[in-house]
Amino acid sequence: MVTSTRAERVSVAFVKLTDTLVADYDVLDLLHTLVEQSVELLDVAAAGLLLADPSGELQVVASTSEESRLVEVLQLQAGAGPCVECYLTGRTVAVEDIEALTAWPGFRGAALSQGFRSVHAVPMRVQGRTIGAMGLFGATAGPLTAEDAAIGQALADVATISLMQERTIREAALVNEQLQRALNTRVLIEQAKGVIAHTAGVDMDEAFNRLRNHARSNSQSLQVTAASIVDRRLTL
Amino acid sequence: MDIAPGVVAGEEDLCAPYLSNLPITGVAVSLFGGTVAATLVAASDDLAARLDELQFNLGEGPRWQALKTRAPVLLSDAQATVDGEWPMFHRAIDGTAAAAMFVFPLTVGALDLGVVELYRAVPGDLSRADQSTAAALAGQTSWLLLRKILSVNSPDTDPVLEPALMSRREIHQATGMVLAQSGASAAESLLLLRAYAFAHDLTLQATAAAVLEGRLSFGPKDGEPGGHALQ
Repeated sequence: MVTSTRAERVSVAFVKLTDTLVADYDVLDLLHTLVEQSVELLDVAAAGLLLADPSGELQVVASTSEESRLVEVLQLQAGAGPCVECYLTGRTVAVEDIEALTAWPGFRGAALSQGFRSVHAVPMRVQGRTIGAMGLFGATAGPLTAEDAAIGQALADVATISLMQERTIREAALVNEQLQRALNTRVLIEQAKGVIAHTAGVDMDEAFNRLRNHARSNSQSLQVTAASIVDRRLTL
Repeated sequence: MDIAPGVVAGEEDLCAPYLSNLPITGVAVSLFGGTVAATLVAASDDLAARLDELQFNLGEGPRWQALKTRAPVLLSDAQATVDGEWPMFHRAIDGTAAAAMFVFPLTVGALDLGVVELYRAVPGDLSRADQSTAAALAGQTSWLLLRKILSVNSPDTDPVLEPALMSRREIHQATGMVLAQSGASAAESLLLLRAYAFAHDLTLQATAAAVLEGRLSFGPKDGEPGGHALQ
């Protein structure tokens, strides 16, 4: 049994994040790795990542579970909640006790019903511009430790840098291209989930699991796998 | 069933961002209306409109290649013929001011929404930076069009509490199911959903939910309530 120190686990997480760039992975794989590693390393129960679409509206592009109720909590706060606040201000937004919230009643109710008691939203920043936010949800009330908060932000920063460094980015257009690639892949994945759900007669969660397992065991990006399902070159 | 009419009503100028950010002479935005003919929705000048029309009528040219490959088609010297490619197209544009043509596909996920066609009166390449800008603008146009397609006939009750984006996720899942049921393309499948919603005075969300719950199917053998309602 291998035990590892926190520092080792953190560095493994950073390597995983940067690995997604070397292999034939794309933006969405990177963002999935980011939310998964965040939950792995930090004292949080769930994580979700939202990016701004071209009209400035936040879209959930990655979450630790595709379970529809978690996604709904994330979506609700895209309209009004900690993540949209974090995105708009470019600053961390911490809610130590969701139960005591007076703002964002829709978000409060949905989060509590999912067993979340605290949330910590960190901005995704590139070149002084905020492109989205990652929400870290805790099952207990209370703040993230300073160390967890710092690691959370560092993971988000590395992911953002990695996202953008595919080519040197001087122009805002390239940032937008990458953003759109992530948003597009998210739509494609939903369409592929629908195809799998129909052909295999499974629910959306299982459809996503099949999609992701196939991508992983074939070292393929989610995007490539989803595209071959929608084109019906691949049946899962 | 056609994307364009509902989408274009009261439309902001789709062409302006291309003209102000890129070294081009003219631009046209053309949508694919599912099984129906493509529809030109915006053009900055007569030539831009004509370039789209003539390619559509001839059934050949860069717009078709961009659609087929889902990738940009860049003709730095549009007046030069290469290996007898698109002979009718080249004859048709001969002597026009279309010295260079750059066509970018409008896609979201597996949805092929249309193309944006740029032309320039001076031949030459589009720089990497300009290509990137054009691709980003095409992405913005695609999302704008998708947003309009999805918002037609779906009056979200409460903009804050109604998780509109969530519903959109379900609409994309339903699109995938319809695609698998009907064998249609993703764009056609979305239009089938939209047409059904229209015909039955339902919101797109409600229609998508019915598909996800198995209450509505668009398979060829299902007849009622799916297949039939679509014609």
